[in-house]
Amino acid sequence: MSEPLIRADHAAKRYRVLKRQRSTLRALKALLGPDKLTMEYWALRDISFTVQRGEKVAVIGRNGSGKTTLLRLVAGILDPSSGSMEVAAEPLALFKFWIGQNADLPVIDNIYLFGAVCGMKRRQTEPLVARILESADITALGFAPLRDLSLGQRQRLALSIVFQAPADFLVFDETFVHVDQAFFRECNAFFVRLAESPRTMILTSHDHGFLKKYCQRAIWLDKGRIRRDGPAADVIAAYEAEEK
Amino acid sequence: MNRRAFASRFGARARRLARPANRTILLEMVRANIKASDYHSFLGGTWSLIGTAVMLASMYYVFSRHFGRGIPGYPLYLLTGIIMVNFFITATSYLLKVLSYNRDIALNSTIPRENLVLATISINAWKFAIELAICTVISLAYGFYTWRSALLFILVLLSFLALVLGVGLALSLSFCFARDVEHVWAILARLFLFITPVFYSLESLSPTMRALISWLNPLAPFLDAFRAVFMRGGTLAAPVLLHCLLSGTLVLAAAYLVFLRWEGEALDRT
Repeated sequence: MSEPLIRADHAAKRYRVLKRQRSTLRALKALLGPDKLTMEYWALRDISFTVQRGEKVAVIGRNGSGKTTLLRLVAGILDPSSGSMEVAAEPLALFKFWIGQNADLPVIDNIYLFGAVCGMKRRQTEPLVARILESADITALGFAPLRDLSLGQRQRLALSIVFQAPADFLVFDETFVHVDQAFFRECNAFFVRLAESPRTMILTSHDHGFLKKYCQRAIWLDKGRIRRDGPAADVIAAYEAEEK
Repeated sequence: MNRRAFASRFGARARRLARPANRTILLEMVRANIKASDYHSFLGGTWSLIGTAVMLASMYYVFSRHFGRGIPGYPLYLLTGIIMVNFFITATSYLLKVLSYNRDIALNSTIPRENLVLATISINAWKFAIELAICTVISLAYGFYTWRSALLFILVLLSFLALVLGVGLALSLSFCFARDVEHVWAILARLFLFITPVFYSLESLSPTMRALISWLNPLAPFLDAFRAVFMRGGTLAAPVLLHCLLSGTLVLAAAYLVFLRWEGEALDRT
């Protein structure tokens, strides 16, 4: 068997969160005395799994179960506090669709900017601009400042760029929430292509129907630990049974 | 964090920064920042230079009689000091908030944090570049500028940018832990305009003050070096050049290592 794309070995992630609102006096007290200003919060504990190239993996769990933190570790945005997380390729990660956009600039400039974030050079993005605008249904707004677009339009724009990106490894965190029906068809078409391709994908979503349709495998996180890892249909069914 | 984990993080970061795709992202971020700033248009750029011109005119009016005597090309002497110290103050003040303002990007995208820092400083660097070009033109008009100046300029500029980046990185980290850093830095930064020989010469000070400013004020050797570029045909004492090269490199290297070690904790507390 080939080398896995992701190998997590007892990975854990600890955040330091403030116990109370910070003030200079409290910070000084914390420096001089035993009473610390922050406390430890373990978002993930003892996470071990591997993902092979080409797998489509759903990460499910309640809010605060550690899904986003896990994806941030996979994307290399955060380092594990203990254990290890080895990822053989850098993914195209989409956590919030407005990241990598500049609201003061026209839409077209933002296509180049976000295109670069998605791994595309200017000369690769240039022939795709018209298609991206059309896909996002904002053809007439190419030269409008991005801030004049609605949030929905900005989301469609970001996703339309991602759909054109040549990435082999994709990470999505609740990216498709609030997408309207018309654009959802575009999303579906993209995921059908993705499901048939050798590309790897890890995503979180609360839309279990969507996850079952496009992922073969699911990892269920519960309070920062892996509760179950297996075929998507089985894991999601078990999760739904417990949630009822 | 143990030494092995730190080395692994350093290696992973270096690999990510070296990727051609990362250069594309950085280029687009710089382009977007400059395009979105005032300096993009001719009129916007002119307005931003008016501030420097007004400061130059008022300082010349107030100080030329007292300190300008015996300094050939005193307007250029003043201008070099003003733009250098102004760049240091504004760039470090921008960098101070770079982690805190870009926390969302830092935690939700694979854009390297170094790119955020470099893209932030690019706006100030663009204005600084225009002002340095103006200094070059004036220096040529005075007949001060030589080929030797051009060679020295590259070394001095790179060391100075390293110093600014290093100080900015250290400030950006400390701002995440203590918000008061902003106020403290605002006061200190203003002081630099007076404790750096912007409108006076070091020779006009007592030997003790001269030694204190030369060795304790990190900007003093750089200002001397910039003046060597623009006013002395590139003639600079070797110890001053060495001081600039070493302080720029060491400050940046130390600040970057501290940044790599603490950025995670800093973002947790932002």
